[in-house]
Amino acid sequence: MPPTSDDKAIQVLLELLSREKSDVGAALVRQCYDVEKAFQYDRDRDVPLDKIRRLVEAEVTRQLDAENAKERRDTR
Amino acid sequence: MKLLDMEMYNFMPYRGKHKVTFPADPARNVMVVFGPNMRGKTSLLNAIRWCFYGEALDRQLNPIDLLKIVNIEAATEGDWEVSVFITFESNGHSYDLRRVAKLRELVDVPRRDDDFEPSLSMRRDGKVLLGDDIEHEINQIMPSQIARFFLFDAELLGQYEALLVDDSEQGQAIKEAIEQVLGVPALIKGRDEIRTLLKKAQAVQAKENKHVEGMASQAEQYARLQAEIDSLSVDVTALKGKDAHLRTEIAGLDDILASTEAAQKAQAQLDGLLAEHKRVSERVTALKEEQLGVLQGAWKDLLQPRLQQRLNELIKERDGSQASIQERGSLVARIDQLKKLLSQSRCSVCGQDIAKARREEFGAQLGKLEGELTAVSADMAKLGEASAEISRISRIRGVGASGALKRIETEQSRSAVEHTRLEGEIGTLRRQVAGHDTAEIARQRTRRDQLMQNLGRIQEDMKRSEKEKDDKVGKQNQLSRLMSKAPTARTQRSAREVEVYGVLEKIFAGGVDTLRDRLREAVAAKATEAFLKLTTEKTYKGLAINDSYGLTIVDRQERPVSVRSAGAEQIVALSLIDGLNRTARKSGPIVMDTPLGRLDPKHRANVLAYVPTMAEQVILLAHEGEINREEDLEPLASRIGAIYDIERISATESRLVREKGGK
Repeated sequence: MPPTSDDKAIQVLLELLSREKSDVGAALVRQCYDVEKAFQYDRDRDVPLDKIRRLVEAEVTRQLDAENAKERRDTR
Repeated sequence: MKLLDMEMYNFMPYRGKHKVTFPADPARNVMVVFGPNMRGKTSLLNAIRWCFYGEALDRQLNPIDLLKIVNIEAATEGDWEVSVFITFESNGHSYDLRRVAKLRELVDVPRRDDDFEPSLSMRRDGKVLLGDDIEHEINQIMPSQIARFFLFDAELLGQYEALLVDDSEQGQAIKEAIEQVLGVPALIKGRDEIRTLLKKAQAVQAKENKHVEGMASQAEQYARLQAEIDSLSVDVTALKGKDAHLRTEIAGLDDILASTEAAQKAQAQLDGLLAEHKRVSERVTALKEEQLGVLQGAWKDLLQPRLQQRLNELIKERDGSQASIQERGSLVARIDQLKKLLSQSRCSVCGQDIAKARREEFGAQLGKLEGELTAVSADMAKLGEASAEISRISRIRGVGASGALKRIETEQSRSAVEHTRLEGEIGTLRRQVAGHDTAEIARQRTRRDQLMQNLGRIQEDMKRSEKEKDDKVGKQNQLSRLMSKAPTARTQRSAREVEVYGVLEKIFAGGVDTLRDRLREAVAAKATEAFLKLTTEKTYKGLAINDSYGLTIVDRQERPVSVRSAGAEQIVALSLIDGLNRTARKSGPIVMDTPLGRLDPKHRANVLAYVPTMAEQVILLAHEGEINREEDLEPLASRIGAIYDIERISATESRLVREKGGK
């Protein structure tokens, strides 16, 4: 199958992510893109907005949990 | 997505129930529906549109009222119900979609669309979907925004030329639709939504930092900036409102001016011709005056031979008089000498007496010389007269009337022809502008120019306010980053959220332009592949794409081919659609109305040969004038899954008949 616009979009986003010095993972970018892809033609924007918010909250929780766990390990 | 069946009830010319079964075999994926004009080919396209999107479109792409969708014969008998039921498959699921419009209770005869009660139902794999889920599901399969690339009237493909015109509104609308089919909105909406969430997270962060030691002043500064940004946002919104209002007014004036375009052109032409007519008339008058002048002096030309003769005589006379006048001095001297001799009795030289005979001789000589002197005096008088007459005659010069009159006549005749031509053209143009208030048109044109100036000013203001706002947002982001870097921020949830949203916003925002560039390249490559198969001109190298996805043919020397025929426009537009469908995530059945109307036989053959590869299902709605059932379909026979004929029952009623045979 030739690459579609979907493949190109996620490819572009991941390329740009790789240039960032950040803890944000590729999985989060993919998930956010999947949400926007699924809802791009919908008029109601509350659903995708809420889904993105939840994804970021989960990512921040994951980051903080990982840091806390590391801190606990280091303290021990 | 693959269409399976469609059942219409009272839909436009199809009274009662009519069923169409679409070809399901991928090897026989082409369906042709033959029908004369006005019999219901476009209605089939509209039945699909209406079922999916609740909208049927006329040839100008304006929505058709529900009142006109219901079959008129059925309505006359009181049956106002209309419905379309489609079964299809997509992404491994089977669907049925039914749209129905019935009269509302207590309405006997509908007068407007609100008198109908519309309903839409959908089942996926047998399970009923409700309300917004149906719209979302349709948007996943075949959103209305991109339907123009699947369900289209090939006669309107010329509109894609607007993509080559800078700042054209139609071009802008098509560009947006193209980006929709290519999925660019996923990144644009993602960027905007993440930006919204980032702002909220920053606001929370700033609020929390008000109570954190050492961060209060930054938090306050953040809040101040926010107030300023909010105020600028209000300004921008108001300016956008004015901008939209002005654009609407300009579009209205453009419509009026477009409808009077021919009259305006004729008026401009007429003004030019009237000026030319005035110039020619002035020239005609000047020539007439010149002609009169020449005629007044023409008698001089008639007298010229006799005058010349007289002049010659006078010159001769004058020359003779002049010669004798030159002798006068010597005559006077000799007379004086003779008079002196005669006054003396002796010669003053030799002292001898002068003989009587000698004196008589001198007296005779003196008498002769005095006679000659009198004659010379008369010559002097004659010389004066001759010179005066020569001068008078010389003033009576010939005017060359013959040559001048000939030249004037030639010019007069040329001017008369020009005059007649101008009067004829002026008459034609006057008839063209008659009935149009050209002064009103001029007023509207001036009004439009003024509105355009206002629009320019508003856009400048908008740009300024937006820039100011962006600067403040930039400062806010800077502050937010500073707050996030503070030691206390590592444990602060809001700071973490700001950081994550910030990264996401940056990559989604940056991704939009990069994705656009890559998609343009991909579309141009795919469209070129299609174009080279569809065109009959072998000197063409391919298609070049502009920022708006407008395609230009380029020849082997990489030169753009600027002039193209209606047929070439159609081939380029079909190539663009094919390029988009091959690049886009979504693909569906192509339903093409009047697909070959503008094409010559060779292009028609190329398109028909290419059609089966354009989509999983291709449905052609054609009349027998554009596709010859025997000759044109013969090479395509192995790919045809179904042929339908639309048969006339009455002026307002048609029926569909499936051709029997192996298809």
